[in-house]
Amino acid sequence: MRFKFRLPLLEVQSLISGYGKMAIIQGVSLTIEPGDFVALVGPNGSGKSTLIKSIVGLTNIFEGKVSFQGADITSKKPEYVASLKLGYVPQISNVFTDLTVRENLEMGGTIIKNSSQRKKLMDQVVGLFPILASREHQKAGYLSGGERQMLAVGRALMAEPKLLILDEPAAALAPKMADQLFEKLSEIRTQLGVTIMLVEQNARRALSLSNRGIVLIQGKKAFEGTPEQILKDTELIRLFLGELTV
Amino acid sequence: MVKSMTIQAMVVFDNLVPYWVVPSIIISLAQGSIYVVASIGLTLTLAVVKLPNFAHAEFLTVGAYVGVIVSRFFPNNLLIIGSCAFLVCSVAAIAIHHIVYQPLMNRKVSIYFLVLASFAVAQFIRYVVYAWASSGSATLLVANQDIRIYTVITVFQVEISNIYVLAIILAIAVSVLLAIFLNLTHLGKSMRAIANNADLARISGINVSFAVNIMWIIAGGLGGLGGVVLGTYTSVTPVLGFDALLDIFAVVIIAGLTSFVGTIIGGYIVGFSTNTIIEALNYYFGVPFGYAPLLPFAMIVVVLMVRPTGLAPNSQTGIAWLRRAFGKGVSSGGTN
Repeated sequence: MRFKFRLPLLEVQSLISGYGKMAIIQGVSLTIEPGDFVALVGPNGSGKSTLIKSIVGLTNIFEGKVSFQGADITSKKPEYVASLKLGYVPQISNVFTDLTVRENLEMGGTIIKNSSQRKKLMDQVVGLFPILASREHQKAGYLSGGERQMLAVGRALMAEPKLLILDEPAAALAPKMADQLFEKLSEIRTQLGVTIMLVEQNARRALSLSNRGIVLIQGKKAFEGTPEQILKDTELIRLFLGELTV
Repeated sequence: MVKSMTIQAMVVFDNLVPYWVVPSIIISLAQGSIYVVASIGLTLTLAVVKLPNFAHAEFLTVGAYVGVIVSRFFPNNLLIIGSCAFLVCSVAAIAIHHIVYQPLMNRKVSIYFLVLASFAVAQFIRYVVYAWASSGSATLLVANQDIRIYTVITVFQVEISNIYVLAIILAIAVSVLLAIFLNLTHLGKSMRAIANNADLARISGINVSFAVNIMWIIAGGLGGLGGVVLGTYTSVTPVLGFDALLDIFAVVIIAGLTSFVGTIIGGYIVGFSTNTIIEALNYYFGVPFGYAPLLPFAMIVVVLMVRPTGLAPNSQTGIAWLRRAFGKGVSSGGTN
């Protein structure tokens, strides 16, 4: 009998992490498989952003382990994590406001050493977000909110990520702009084959796009399952995800 | 005929313009150029690592003394003298970063600790230079670089020396090369990215440590180069940099701390204020020349009160103004 082992793309084991000496994430474990679209949902202050910052190396890890494509990235520098093709779009301050749109994309492609490959990726990003082409020489600080989020996603895509983690990308967007952005995320997953982990306050919207959902409550994983399972759990919804009540 | 017309024109010019104007403008340009070279490394430090490095002035002192020593072996060879000063001060800057600033930054101390540390580093370097310069048989407490000063050109009866020309050319060259580096190379753009948002730079895969090391090499080197030029202009003493410290900070405050265009403007504003403006104040209002050193400090106060972001023009604001002026509107702006 032959066994075929496949490593998960991202594996978090019993993670305890936070800022300074304060632990916010309390023993979270999760895995993300290639091709997944995982929604990380939970109420305000549940530790969603802290969890993903811990994965990319921006917080203090006290216990536990984080692996990406089999490589241990626990407490590794963010630049090392990025070099392994783990893309991250922060919720705020996610573009270089003093740099032009083009320069932002160039910075996103820092880990791509081949210039023709970098150019190809830039064409791909501009193809996905055509508005960026017309804003090419404009400073990112002068973009509208929607354009800025597109640039932030484009910057992360320039590194050709295997996994793209987005922290509430639609938080400050008008509903129409948010819908457009989520359409693009689906496109990124299906056309570019990028695995996505989406942190989102609006749980219904995030779960509608994903194939798996993780509910985080007070720094602990409260539930993990398919979107249908989460949406059927009326107790979970009533207690923690009030906005889902139907 | 032509010669007599030239003489006539000069006589008319002499009658219209006070005798001190042309020489003071030339000195202002030269001194402003020295300020630009001496300050631009500090602007880079402020932009990339957000550190008001008070030890920057000591790079000027060290660079000038390197000039004194090297010029004894290679008199008048500005290329070798300048290169050695750049190299020594680059090494010093990298060493200070790794021994003092980086360990403090790793502990995530506040900016106040870093500023105090830079004061301590400045004092340390100054007294090491003092001890070294006063030791041995031939004291170097007041020294001169072995660089011949000669007149290159005479304009309106004002002799312009090679040092003035060198300062102006160096300021232009440094400004242009730095602009090319920061705007056209990936490493330069990475430095601007780090200056703008260091965490985002890290998660974009930019090697922040490498870029910061290069930044210190450039900042320290330019400080050393500024010291060589300053050392040709005046005697070299252990307080050469310290004496220029507040002028340098006046330049970068006028520049808004992180603007390179602002640093060039600030350099010439301080250069003109300590020469042409004080000459004018003396000529028209009898203000004594002794007040000259006060002008840059007055400017610091005025700029901080009136326009704390500095006097540097904002390119986007400029573009927006031009578009409005020519009726094309502003393409975008605001946030959602």
